[in-house]
Amino acid sequence: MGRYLRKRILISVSILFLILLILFLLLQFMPGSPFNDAKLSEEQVEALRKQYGLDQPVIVQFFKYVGNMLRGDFGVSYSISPNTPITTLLVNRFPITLKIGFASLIFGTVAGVTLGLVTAFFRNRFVKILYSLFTMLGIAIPSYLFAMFFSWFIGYKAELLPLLYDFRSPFVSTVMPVAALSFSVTAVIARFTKSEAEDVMKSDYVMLARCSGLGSGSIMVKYILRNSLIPVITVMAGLLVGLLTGSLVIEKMFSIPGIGGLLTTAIESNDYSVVLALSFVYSALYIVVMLILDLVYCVVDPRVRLGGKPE
Amino acid sequence: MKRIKRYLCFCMLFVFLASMLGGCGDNSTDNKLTELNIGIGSSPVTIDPQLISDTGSAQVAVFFTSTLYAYNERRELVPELAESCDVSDDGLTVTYHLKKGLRWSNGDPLTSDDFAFAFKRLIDPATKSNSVYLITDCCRILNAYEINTGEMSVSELGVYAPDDLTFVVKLELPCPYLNSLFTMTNFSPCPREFCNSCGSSYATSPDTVLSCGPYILDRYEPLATQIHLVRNPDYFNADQIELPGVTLQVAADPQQAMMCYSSDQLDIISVSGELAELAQGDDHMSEFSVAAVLTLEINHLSNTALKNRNIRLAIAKSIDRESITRNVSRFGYYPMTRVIPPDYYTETDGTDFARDQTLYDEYMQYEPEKAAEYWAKGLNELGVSSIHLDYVVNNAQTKYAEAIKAQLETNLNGLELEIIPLPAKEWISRLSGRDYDLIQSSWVADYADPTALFQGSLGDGSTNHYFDRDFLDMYDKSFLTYGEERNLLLHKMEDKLMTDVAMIPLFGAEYNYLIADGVTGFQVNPTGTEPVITGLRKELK
Repeated sequence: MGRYLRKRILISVSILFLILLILFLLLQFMPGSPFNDAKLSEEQVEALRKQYGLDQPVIVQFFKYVGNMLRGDFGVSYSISPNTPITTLLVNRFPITLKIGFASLIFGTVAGVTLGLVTAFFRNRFVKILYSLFTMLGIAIPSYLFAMFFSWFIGYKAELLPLLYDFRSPFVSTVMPVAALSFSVTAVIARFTKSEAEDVMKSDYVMLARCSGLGSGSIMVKYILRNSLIPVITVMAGLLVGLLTGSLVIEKMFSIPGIGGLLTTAIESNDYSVVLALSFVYSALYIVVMLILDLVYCVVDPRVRLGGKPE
Repeated sequence: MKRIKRYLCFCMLFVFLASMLGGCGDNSTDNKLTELNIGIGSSPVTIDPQLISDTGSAQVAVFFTSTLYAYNERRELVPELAESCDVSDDGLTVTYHLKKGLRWSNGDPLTSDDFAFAFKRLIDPATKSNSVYLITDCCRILNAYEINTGEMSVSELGVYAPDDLTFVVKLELPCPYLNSLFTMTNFSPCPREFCNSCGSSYATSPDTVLSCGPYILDRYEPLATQIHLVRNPDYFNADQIELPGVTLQVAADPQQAMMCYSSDQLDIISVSGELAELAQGDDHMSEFSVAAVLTLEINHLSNTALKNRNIRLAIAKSIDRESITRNVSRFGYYPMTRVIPPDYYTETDGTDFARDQTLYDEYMQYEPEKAAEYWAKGLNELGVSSIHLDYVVNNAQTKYAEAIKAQLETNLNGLELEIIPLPAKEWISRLSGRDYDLIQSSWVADYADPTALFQGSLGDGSTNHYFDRDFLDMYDKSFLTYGEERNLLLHKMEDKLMTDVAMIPLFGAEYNYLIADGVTGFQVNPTGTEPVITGLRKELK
């Protein structure tokens, strides 16, 4: 296990370094510069490039950047928030995106697992219709349409919740965005849970448990739920990263100061340092999530042995 | 034991979820009732006055900064922190006498040295400001250009503070519109010691910025979506400020902004496009003219055909601006056939410089038959039967380009236009690099003077390669003349641009705001880029 972890961490660090290098080179080919302003003369643009060290050779810039980054300094923003340290931007915005992403994932997963299990367990028509309707709508309709629906009926008509993110009431401000983002999570998780639970229910060990006289509740929790969760965990990792990176429209709609909007604004403005820092954080996040996922597998399914030699 | 474990697990999960969602209760208080909630389109890029280069940031900074001169609710230019100003006979030395008793929001005295420090900070290459052109080009303060290029040190900038109440600006060339230029937030004072003590974190949070304006920053973080300000009791004109506080809320989604306005969550919102059309006829809708002009820039060097005046005239007279504003933009733009918009610049006798918007209809008005005549004449002079032109356009304005292309190709036989839609950053590169035949551009004036809108046609520094000696001479002379003589000169300059068809004005912009019942005193400055906030009031419903 320890050896496996060391190997994975080493590979992860190499991948991150490679990602950073490729990104750094790609950003040099982007048209325009961070100082896109028709009112600035060529001399003034050149002076700004010099001040930010962008006049140096790319390879020098890259190793300087990596050196600073290892010391925890991601540099400063060039254009979207001039001279603001990127760590300040991340520290202010990342927690909000994380909160909303995790909350959506947890609510969506709990609802999805429940819906999937109930549909697999109670095989009546009404439950199946409800399940089909819910999963189809959840997958087919994008989250911003749910957000618009909630905004209109709950925020505007009923005036129950704020329409925009308010720092004075962060809890109630996040209810509608979380609900809107949870729908697709619920639908995806429900589909996986149902199909896996149906397979598990047909398995020999469940039949044996039934024959042994175990109660339905006990079989559901100990055998069906636990075994159905393995593929769900795999899906959850992808969904989490998707929620953290893809909630841009929801963030814009509810004016949430998260990092979804930060990345697109930075790309549009050629703010290289912000793009690099965010890409690095996202890549690191994805790699860490996948590593945790492998470890969770071990806990959920003791048959999985990471990096172990075949006996 | 198992039950206790389950119970504990449940409790931990609940605490985890609650903490993830912030857990803080709603502590909005009743005092919000008299505060004003204004919807803004985007987060401010920065609130550091010397770094500001976009209107969104200036619209926020105007609440907590103050300048030597300012526009009042009647759009008149009046002294703000200055008591008066003297201009030397040669126009090269301008002396500002500050009001007595000015204070920063921490109680420190505000002196002329704070202005000198702010101006030097703006030009200092270490500040990395995108707005240095204001000091090197728009007004040529002594040694500014040399400091910007690193040939001189910052301390040699032509600004001086001989005593606490006197601020002197030395110029290389007289600047008749200097007081209008100095209303920009970039020229607001900066507290030297406080700024130095904050270092690079200056103006990144409420604790690292001092106010000398009507309000104090109470809540802010970089790229914030919600900014809260409270009344500044140390503002020199604090008695006139009635609102206890203001919240500036980013509402980037127009529909969400409209719902917020309709449900009283926002008191003032800006509306455009379809929402503005929906709100048309609403008593709460207010229109404000803006010094923003959409133009069709002609590259006078790239294509031989465009050097021909008849070809340029034919293009100018083939565009039916009325039909485009009626059917394509539908709201927020009006047809324009001259460079200077109405209600922007007032002449010495009090009349509007651009009161007659039909003045150049002879060259710019839509007349397809005459356009065809000019076109045929131009083709004949060039000895060709068809012309191909690249028409570069910002992605966001493609719909106007499509309409213009259809009209031009219909009215001008043998013209082939290739629309090249580009993302904003690439479009700006093409404009600055003069890499186009035709480009759809927009000019927003920084200050209230016609020369601000002539900047794109100034010879070597132009974005359109228009190089006319007479025009450049007149431009230089406009810095040396004052009063009626200068106004005549400015008219001649516009005459020159229009008769030469140096560029083709298309549309003028206007901002539309929905203002809730009980809110009064909202105004914008003549360029339309910053609100005038001193008269804002919101009465309890």
